[in-house]
Amino acid sequence: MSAHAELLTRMAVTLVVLLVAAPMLVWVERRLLARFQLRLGPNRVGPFGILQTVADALKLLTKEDWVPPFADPVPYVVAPMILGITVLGAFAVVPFTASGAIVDLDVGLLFFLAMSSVGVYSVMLAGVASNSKYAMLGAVRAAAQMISYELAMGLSLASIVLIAGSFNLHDIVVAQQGLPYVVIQPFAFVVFVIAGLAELKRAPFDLPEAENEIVAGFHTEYSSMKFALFFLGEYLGMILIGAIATTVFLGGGNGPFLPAPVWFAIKVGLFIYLFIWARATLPRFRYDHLMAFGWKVLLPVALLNLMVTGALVVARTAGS
Amino acid sequence: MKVRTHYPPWAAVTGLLRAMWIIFKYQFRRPVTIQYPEQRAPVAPRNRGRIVLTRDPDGEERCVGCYLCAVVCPVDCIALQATEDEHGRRYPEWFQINFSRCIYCGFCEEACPTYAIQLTPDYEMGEHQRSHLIYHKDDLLIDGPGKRHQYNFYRHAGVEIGGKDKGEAIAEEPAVDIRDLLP
Amino acid sequence: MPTILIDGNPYEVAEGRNVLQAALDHKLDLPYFCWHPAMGSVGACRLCAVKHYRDENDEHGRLAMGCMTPATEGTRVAIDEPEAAQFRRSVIEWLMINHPHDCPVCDEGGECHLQDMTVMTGHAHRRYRGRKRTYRNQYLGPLIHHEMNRCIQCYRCVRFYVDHSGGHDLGVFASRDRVYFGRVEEGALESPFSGNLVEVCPTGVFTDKTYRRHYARKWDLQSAPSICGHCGLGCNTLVGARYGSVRRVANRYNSEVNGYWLCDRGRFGYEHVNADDRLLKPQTPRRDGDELSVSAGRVWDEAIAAIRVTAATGKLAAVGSPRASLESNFALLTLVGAERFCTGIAEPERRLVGRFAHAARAGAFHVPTLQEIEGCDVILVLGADLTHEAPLLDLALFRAHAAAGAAIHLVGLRAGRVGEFAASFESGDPGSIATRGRAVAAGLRADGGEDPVAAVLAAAHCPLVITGTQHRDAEVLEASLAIVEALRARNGTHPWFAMSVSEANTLGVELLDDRRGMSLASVIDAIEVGDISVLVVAENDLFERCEDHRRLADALQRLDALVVLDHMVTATSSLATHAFPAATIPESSGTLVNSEGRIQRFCQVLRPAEDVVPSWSATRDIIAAIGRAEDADWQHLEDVTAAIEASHPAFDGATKLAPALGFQLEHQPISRVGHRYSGRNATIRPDAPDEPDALTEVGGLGPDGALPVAPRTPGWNSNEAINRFRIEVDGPLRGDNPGLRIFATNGNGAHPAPSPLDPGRSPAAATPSALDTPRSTAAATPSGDDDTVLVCAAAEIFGSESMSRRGPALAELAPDTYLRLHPKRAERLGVVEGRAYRLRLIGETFETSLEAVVKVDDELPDNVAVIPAGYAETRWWQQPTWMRLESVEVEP
Ligand code: SF4
Ligand code: SF4
Ligand code: SF4
Ligand code: SF4
Ligand code: FES
Repeated sequence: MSAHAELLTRMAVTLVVLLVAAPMLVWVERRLLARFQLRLGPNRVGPFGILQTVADALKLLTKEDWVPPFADPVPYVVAPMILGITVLGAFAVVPFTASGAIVDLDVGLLFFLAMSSVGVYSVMLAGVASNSKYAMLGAVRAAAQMISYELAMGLSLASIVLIAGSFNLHDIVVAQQGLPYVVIQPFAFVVFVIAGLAELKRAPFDLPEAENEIVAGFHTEYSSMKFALFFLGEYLGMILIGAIATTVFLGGGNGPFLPAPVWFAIKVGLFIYLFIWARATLPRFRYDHLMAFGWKVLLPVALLNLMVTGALVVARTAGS
Repeated sequence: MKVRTHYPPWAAVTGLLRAMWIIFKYQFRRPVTIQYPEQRAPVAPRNRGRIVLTRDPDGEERCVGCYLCAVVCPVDCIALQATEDEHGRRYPEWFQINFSRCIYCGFCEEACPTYAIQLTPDYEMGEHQRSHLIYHKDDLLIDGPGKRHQYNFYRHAGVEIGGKDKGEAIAEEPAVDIRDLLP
Repeated sequence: MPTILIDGNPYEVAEGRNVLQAALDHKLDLPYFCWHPAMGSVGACRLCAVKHYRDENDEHGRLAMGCMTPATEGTRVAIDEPEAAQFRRSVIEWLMINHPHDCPVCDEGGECHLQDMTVMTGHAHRRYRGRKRTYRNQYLGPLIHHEMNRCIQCYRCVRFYVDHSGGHDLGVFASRDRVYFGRVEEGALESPFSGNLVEVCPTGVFTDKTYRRHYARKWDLQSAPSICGHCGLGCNTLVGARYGSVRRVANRYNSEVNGYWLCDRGRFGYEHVNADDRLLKPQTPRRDGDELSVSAGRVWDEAIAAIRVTAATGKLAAVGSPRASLESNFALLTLVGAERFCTGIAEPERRLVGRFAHAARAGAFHVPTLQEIEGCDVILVLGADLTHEAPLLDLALFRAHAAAGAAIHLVGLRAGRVGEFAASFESGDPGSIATRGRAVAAGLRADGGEDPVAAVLAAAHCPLVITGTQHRDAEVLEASLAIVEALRARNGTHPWFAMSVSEANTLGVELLDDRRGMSLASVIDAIEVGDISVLVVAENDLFERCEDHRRLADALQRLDALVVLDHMVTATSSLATHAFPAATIPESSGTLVNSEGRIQRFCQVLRPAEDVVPSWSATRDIIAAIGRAEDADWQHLEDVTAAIEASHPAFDGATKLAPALGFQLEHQPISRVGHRYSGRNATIRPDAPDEPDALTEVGGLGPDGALPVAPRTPGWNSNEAINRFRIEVDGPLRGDNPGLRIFATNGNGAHPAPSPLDPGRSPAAATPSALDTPRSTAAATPSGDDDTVLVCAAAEIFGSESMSRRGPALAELAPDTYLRLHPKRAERLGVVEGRAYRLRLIGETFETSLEAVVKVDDELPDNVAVIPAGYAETRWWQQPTWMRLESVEVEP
């Protein structure tokens, strides 16, 4: 098989898996949340209600594709696309298999960080282009929150880079053959997971779309397929953060007996479960608490962790 | 009870973990969902649902068109027009309840001096058109006495109606003879 | 002013009050039943018990009836005292022993004084387990329903019916605890004031039978202050509507006009608003009869086209109406100009009204209010039958007689009910009435002289002369004025004079026109010579205003277009080329001037059917549609009133009769409905749509309660709540009585300079019509053995008024068409009492026929035949006319 053909196949497989997984995730989340809340969740459409998402998707697709007259049409339409593209793009560097990612990028981790930063624009654009107060408020909140927590996330990853000595995610996975980094870097792990949740704008960090305050935040004015794109972006983001965390902290596809993609999927699944569980449990942050926590707790912890790690690494390289 | 106002710094983390743990355990409990319409929630006989107009033990309409239910209704969803038959018996010419506004508070039942209007446990009143939720007398009037089996307002009232002359109600003396001069 | 102590607090009270009145003056809650502000105290019910202390050292006190305890300086009483409170509670409990379990089916419920008092005293639980006493009811006619079980023996009914208003056929019977309030025998109540029993009785014994057919609770009635449109007195009413129909009319207190009362014509006449013969859609009767074959828009366009063309050629004229508001008449006047406007009052009557109005405005005499009339000591009624023309004036006369012992002297064709208590009655035909009047005037000038009536008048402190318009006889009016003039000359004071007019706005439309416009007869003449080709008629049936129906019908047929705006189908509207529905009084707002010269505002109560609009606004639209929008730049009724004020100084102040447009009380327009109004969200059936709406166009409840929408305050749901809206019991409303008097008054001693009676301006119509020439009643007296009689019409309280007689209840009470004759005359004619005849009446200028029952009456002068006025068969009658009778008996 030529290199190109293989690349295309990998891309196609990844895309299909992701695009099936994301809607499935909606169903999984609804069912799981229901169980956490002593309910049953959607169980009417198809076996166990599994076709509920199909029904929802069909509904969204058949809805009128409408741009509100007061919105700025171009950014309004572009915004959800940016989200889809950046999230999907970031998956290019995730090493699902033992042989690595779709593109074995040496700056894979930086690419991921870059992509997730660009994602902020989607939210900002959506909020501003909607030209409505709730969307605007949501966008402002989202921007502030994502910028704040991105720092901590970057710093927590930086300590891993220091240890692994590489930005290449495949290399990082390989480096964890023995011990997953979660053991070595528990603080970085915790910081990453928390910051990841905040990046995802999921409970308890769902201030940008806090429905009881600002209707639906930045996507208040969105409907039909454009809304679905935001929705899809959110669930793909869950998988992405789970995948990066798996890669960076849980040793990617490493594991006995089972093939690497299966191990990878299991680990990602655990993270997703954790996200849903957190949503079922934790109430939403107050805005000032959110900011205080980000800047006064998470950032110092990540910074301290980086400095200690850096010192240790220097000490070790000096010692060897 | 003493209220704690000061917590150790780690309380935030332990509290959070405890909450996570409690919610985790919930997954293994029995869901409380009732699979309507296959299963139905048990409804108490006094549950306040669809309103009916009942009849007295003689099979006549109980409602006398006094307007008390209409005035007590906090959402003003009852309207009626009183009229009377040729023998002076009052009854509602038309009666309507807008169930899209009704809050099933039961005030109307409480206000009704004749036990005519009663709430029943039936709550299955879904409609595709809002106007179908306006029930008229035909829809409201049932053939039985509802929760009150015995009461018949006109057996107590002093007015004469067909079949009941003056002095024939419960605890009434026969009509006085005004020409009587006995002390 | 004495100061009394109630519950230890000092209160200033007016002189001559009792403790109950004092408490109510100060808005304290002291229950009562038998006391009535107009009828005083009798101490029968024992409910107003208070603790009365001898002086400040008295610690025990004794129970006394508040209504029987004078409030003199230093009186010390306690309302809030355990023994008194217990006593009052016990009184209610005793009453409740026999009170039926009726509230849900009782029409008084929700505005029941007994309910209020029961709640107020705190009696809540019936302990008595014995049986209840019951009564049989009586049939009391089509107006009043009787439910005797509910009686609490307060005697208010008989006190009102017999003592206060002079009725005979309601009484109290039987003995012991069996006392019974009713008639000796079943039958319709005879008093024209029987409707007041509904309001006077604190319980549901007497209820409104017309209301019963479409009953609604007081809290559900959409109400607004209105004015009765059924006679010229302008009684204040409170009309209640529900689901788009008028449900009842109740009294609206105005201490100077009708007080607490209404006559039965005013109370029950509202039924015409709900009647079947309303004109509800624009139609083209002349072409299509009753068929509604043309769309409303087409009718409108056609009518406008016709009017536009004629307006340009100057062949347009308009006839207003004395039963339409000032605004509607003014709009018509604006449409055609003052010279082409006709008031729609028949000339004989117009002449009288114009003369009266002119003299009154000049201040030649003082026109007293009904309240003032009650204080007169000698009253001469010349040529009026007040019972049937202006019933509440009859009541005022009875009050004057009963309360102040006034001597009432009648000179007229028929005495009416006043005859029962009058000091003297002299019967005569219009000519002899005038002669008699002149004699009295002469007697007065000659210092009393031989004439007995002149003698009492001369000796009176406060004499009053009243006349009427029913004979349409200028001589009678002149004679009355001569008496007034003689009184002034004699006593040097400003004499009092009143005249009853026949319709609600007769005086108003006359003042508006001020004799500048055409007479009805000249309108007909002008049509005949082709000078008028399009005629607009508002709320008027010309066949009620014109003798020669054949000529009138021919003239109307000749018109290119006859545009009629009216709320009922009339003979005129049936000849219209284009007929448009107009709003009735309850359906619109407007201004009326009553016979006392009081301008009063009536407010819209309910929204009329779809195409129905007030005449003024239809006329405004006509003016706009013919391209003269700037002449009638009126948005709201207020704008029209303001225009009237600007062009007619006589109506100065008319815009201030009601709160201004956009008036708000506590940031809300005054609502026509109370907060308890039910069914707002029930989505009433489409065939009866009427959402309650705020009274935005003109206000209802003035800032001080001057125009109460429906008196009710917490704890006082019945009409007794009126005490809360007055500064003092039986006094004027807070913020003064509504209405504005436009005649110079000497009410409080301010005597405007008396001016000699000036004969008034003569009609300005270019060509006086032959029909206009007054027909002398005396001149042509033919020799006695002729078949010629003077045909006069007598007003009938139920039946003569064109609107009220369309309601079924009053129609039932209206007497059949009759011909009343002196026995000798009947004998000569060969007619027999009680038989129906087809009569031909042949006059000098016209003839007509009539089917009537002959009644023989030996009080009548033998040259007179009397027919009922204003009936469908007799509406041609305009003035006394010498006519030859030919009769054919009709087989029964
Ligand atoms: S239940 Fe309550 S809301 Fe419903 S009709 Fe009765 S009073 Fe009204
Ligand atoms: S309260 Fe009862 S009797 Fe009265 S109108 Fe309502 S249903 Fe009829
Ligand atoms: S009179 Fe008053 S208390 Fe008596 S039944 Fe009627 S509403 Fe009730
Ligand atoms: S009928 Fe009415 S007014 Fe007359 S005594 Fe009885 S309760 Fe009083
Ligand atoms: S009001 Fe005083 S006794 Fe009746």
